[in-house]
Order: sequence, then C-alpha cells, then structure tokens
Amino acid sequence: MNKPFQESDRAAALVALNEDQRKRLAAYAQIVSRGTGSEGDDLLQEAFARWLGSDKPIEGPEQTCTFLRRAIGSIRFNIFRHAKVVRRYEGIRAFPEEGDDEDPLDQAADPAASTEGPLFVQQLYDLCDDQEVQLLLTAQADNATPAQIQAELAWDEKKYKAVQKRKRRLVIQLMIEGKLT
Amino acid sequence: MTDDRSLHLKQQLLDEIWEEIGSLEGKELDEYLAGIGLGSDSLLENYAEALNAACVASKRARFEKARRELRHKSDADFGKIFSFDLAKKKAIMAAIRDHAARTNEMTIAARNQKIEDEGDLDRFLEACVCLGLIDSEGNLKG
Repeated sequence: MNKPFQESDRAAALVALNEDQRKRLAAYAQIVSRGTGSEGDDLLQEAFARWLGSDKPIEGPEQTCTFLRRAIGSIRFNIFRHAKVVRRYEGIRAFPEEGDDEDPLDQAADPAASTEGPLFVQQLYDLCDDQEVQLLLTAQADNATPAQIQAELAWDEKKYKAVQKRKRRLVIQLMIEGKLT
Repeated sequence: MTDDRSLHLKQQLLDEIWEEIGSLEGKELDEYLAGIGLGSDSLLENYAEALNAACVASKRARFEKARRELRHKSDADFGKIFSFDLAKKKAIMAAIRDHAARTNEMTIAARNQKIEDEGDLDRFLEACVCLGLIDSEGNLKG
C-alpha cells in the first residue's frame, strides 16, 4: 500500500472516533494546555499530525484515542521543557559578565528541572481547601499505595474513591482556571 | 518528598484527569464539561477544525517533499547529461531532432533552435529531459 493511502486511512481513523471520544480529547487538550502558552487546539492539531505521520498500526478507536491522549501529554511536556531551556538561556544572557564560566549559577543544574514537580504539588496543596484531599495528596506524595492510604487514614474503599474523585475534579478545575500549571 | 516522586505525582494527576473524563459518557459527560466551562458543541468543532488543519498541513508537507525530491532528482539527472562530452551531446541532439522531425513531437521553432555554444546545447538537452523526450542518459523515450 502506498503512503497516500496509508495517510488517508489514518485520517479516516480520526474521523471514526465517536462523539464522546472526540469531546474527551478536545477537553483534555484544553485542560492540559493551560499554562503552556499554547491553545488546546494547537496541542490537538499537533497530536493529529503525529498520528498521521506515525507507523503505529490502526487497531481501533480506543487505541487511536490512547495514542492521541499520550501525544497531547508528550507535546505539553515538550512545550514546558522548551520554555525552560529558553528561560535558562535568557537568564544566562541577561548577566553577561567577565568570568561568566566560573559563575556557580552557571555550573548549577537547571533549577526549573528540579522544581517543576514539587512546585506543582505545592501549588495544588496550597490551593486546596479540602482537608481530606490534602491528606490524600500528602500520602500520595509519600508514595503510599491505595491500600496503605486507606489503612493509615482509616478510610474504607468507598471513602477513598470519593476523596480521589474530589481530588481529580479539583485538579481539573484549578488547571482550567489557569491556577495550576 | 523527592523531586522524582513529585514529578511522578504530577504525571499521575494528569493521568487521573484523563481517567476522570474517560469515566463519563453521553449526557453525564456533557454536563460535566459544561460545569467546567467547556461546551460539547464547541469541543466537537475544535476537534473537526484541528483535524482539518492537520490534514491540510500533512498534504502540504507531502507536496513540498515530493517537489524537493523531484528537484533533487532533476538536478542529479541534469548533472549526468551535462557531464557528457561535447560530441556525445551533439549526437543526442541530432537524434532528438531526427526523431522530432519524423514524429512532429517538437515545434519547428524548437527543432531549429540555434545552438551557438555548449551552454545552448545544455539548455536544449535540459529542456528535452524536462519534456520527457529523453531520459537522463540521453536515450530517446517512446
């Protein structure tokens, strides 16, 4: 089969997704694009481009959807990584002094790389006014498994799932409002 | 908490966003999305527009790639025919004119084009390759 046929088949696979799947992908792109400086539509378009140019076999709508969701996440990550490199480069260029190469700041590891995760979690913790969600976050930050969390906090499974749900919705709400990036 | 653990937790939270949206469907999904300010119709439009834009960009990229390849191939082809010695180039030109006179595949003006130097001859042969009258070896086609 030649390349144009392959591409039209890949495009057809994107059209074949049902309405719920399309809405989920567009919504996910909108949510995770907040704070990146890009629009959700750009992330979505870029993910489609990756799919169209990919060699991954066309298996079915679920698999296509998973590919696109991961592509959106990867593109988001790349945008942040690129922004960090630019910030770092501009930071170095902003203070051109003699003996720059000996500046301990230049020798240090990229500070943004080591603060991204903690900052995100700290932001979330600070913005959260639900004590149970805060407890859950603290436990998850300590790498506790669901079973350990339930035992430690004396929650049954139903309670654990309910707090998890509140936490997920809070994260989505804060991201969509641009408060959490 | 270690930095690795923080990054892992952040990734986990992003995965959970997808799980949350994925757990809903139909009217329930529409209502939830509306609750966070995302209209379902608008999302479907976004999807269609992004898909259209990606397909157009892909086609454009394919066209550009094909054009680059053709240009590269043509450059290589001309390079070959230009490297022939003058006698061989003249022999090819004579064969083309003879063939053209018999088949009327070329206008009289083109057939009788004045060739004053090797540069003119190269341009003539280049045009014949472009027109598909000869291949890059100088052989007559058809």
